[in-house]
Amino acid sequence: MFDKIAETPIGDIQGRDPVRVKTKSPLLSVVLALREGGRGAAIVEDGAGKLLGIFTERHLITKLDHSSQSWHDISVDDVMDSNPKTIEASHYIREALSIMSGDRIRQLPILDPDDHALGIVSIRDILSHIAEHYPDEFLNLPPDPEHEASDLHGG
Amino acid sequence: MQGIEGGKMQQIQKPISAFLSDKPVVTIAVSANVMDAVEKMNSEHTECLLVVDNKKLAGIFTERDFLNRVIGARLIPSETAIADVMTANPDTLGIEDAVSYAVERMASRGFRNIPIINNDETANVLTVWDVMSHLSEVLTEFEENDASEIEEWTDIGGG
Repeated sequence: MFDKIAETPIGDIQGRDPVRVKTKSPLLSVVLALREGGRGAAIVEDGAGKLLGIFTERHLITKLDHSSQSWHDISVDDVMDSNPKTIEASHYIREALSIMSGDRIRQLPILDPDDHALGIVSIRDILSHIAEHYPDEFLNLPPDPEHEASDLHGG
Repeated sequence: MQGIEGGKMQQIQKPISAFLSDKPVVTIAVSANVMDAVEKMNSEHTECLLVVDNKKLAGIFTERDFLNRVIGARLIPSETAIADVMTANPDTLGIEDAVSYAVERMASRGFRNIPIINNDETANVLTVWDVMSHLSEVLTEFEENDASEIEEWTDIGGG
């Protein structure tokens, strides 16, 4: 079971559509696109669709001054990670996990050989893949504790 | 050989207490505003805060909440009460529950941080990183064993 998980190519994971924004997009528009798309990271592309960087919910907290709204019109290029870790579709889950765990990266752009982003694989995508394909082995659960603990959080 | 694969399965069934980091839990009072929360998340280098009311868990506030419920909703952080944008009464697990419950919640519900309760008190937060770094180690160990052994394990494991 573990070998099958470890050696699943990233391209085999059912990904969700990524949020893509153009270079120089104003930051607030990127945040609104993330919210609408239900994602935590946006791919920033040039006019030819090449990956220039990624902007994540983490950057929103750590890189901006929220005491005013002056950041709303800043270009995403000024705040994004312009040298993100990436992975190729043919690489394995274990390589993605190793990169993600090592650097605490939640989202890895999947690149083709021409530096176009095919998508983003997130830590949730990987967990969902494992849970979906190996439910008996991986989530071999004893009775759910939720009902036992329900009085702790009001049911 | 069966013992080795069996041993890995046992690791997945370990209690949550075996995965929690020593990092102290970071909390914020339910009376705080979102600007206070952002400053605390930055100074403490944390992805989430437990919101407490008189030491009792009232909610959880994460980076995703900040994106979706504050900035994405066009609210002003310094004028927004944390109580209005946190997830109130979050799902919790106990410190002795099997870690597989946490994996299931993270996979199906998208949680990355789960408050862990010990004897009716909030003990800590189990993060997706606590679980994933462990899983990554298990999978990497596998890679380091030679192929013939892997085949044998696969046969015995039965998939």
